Amino acid sequence: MHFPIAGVTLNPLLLAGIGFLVGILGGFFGVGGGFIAGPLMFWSGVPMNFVVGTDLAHMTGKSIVAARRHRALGHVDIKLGLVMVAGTILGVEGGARTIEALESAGMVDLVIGVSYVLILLTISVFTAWESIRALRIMRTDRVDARDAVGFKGIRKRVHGLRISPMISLPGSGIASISFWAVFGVGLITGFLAGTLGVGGGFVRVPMLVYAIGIPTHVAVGTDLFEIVISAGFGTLTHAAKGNVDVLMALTMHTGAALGAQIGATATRFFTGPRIRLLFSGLPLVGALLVLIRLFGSGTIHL
Amino acid sequence: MKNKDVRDLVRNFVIELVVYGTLVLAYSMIVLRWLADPLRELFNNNLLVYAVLSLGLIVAQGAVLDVVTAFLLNLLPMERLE
Repeated sequence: MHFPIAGVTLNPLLLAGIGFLVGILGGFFGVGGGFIAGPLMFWSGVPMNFVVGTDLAHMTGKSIVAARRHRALGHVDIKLGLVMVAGTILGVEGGARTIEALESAGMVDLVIGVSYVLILLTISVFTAWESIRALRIMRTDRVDARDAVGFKGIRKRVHGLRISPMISLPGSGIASISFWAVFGVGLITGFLAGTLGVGGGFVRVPMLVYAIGIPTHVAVGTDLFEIVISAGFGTLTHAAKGNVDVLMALTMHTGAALGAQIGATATRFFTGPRIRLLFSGLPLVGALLVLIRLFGSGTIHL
Repeated sequence: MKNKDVRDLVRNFVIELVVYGTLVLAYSMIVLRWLADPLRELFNNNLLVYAVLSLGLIVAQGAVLDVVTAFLLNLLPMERLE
């Protein structure tokens, strides 16, 4: 099928297949899947400027489906999501300005690429280590899966912050926490999203679980809710700059809608620590894809 | 989960994939082809309207597909298997 806006001819089933894959990942792990969908679209022959905008557009539609599904299961904390969105928007803007500064210094590919790989590897190793510890705690101490977290140091410090205003997050079982702690998570993940050009779910979900103490299922659902808003905003701005082929986005989304439903339903068959252990493999895939791109483009030489 | 439940889950999943795949294929062939020309015109002539319409289309499709997939998941007892 010919997609006249991007000017490429592609099999729609291939696009729907990519959507289906990232839909399952999104529904299950609460990530947008941009770090996998982007390279796959590029390798399918979609021009790079259309990859970012079109991926954001399909992510908006997909996240609506998955977020609604999670909301029905009681996994979305709207208040938490809205506070984070405020920080995310500021963070994205800061990230975009950092990119501009790096670009004018001619170092954008190297700095962003290497930072990306290091961040992804850190998240992957840390999440794997923590979830294995949590699974051991569940087995040896007979702790409920909801309470089993193998690393509570950061959470204790964050909850110890008493900078007003203090807010409660009843949807996540948190009686009192500083507004700035939640806002900060949005700000940091927004900054990473703005600099790395991704949705940021693979950073936000671990931060919500480990730093704020949100149950894994709620972290996944709320992250999707946040993606709906931030990716929707991104779709508008990118489309206005001519970087969105909505026909491609609609085709990808047909596959993603089914994948997201299946992924969200599948979370009920796994405990929080097991979801986190499976999640730890995702950043590795992303890091590998970035490394291939860095070596392939000659940014890094052996 | 018992073995029988897993078998039912896989069977229902395959049925859903086939039904959904057929719907998606028909949708791509009919609706997307029909939308292609007007959207390209808009993309070339008025990017702002194109941007708003793009977001509207993806949100509308999200809502419709949510209903369709939820209907299929309810029709086949995938939701009740735990």
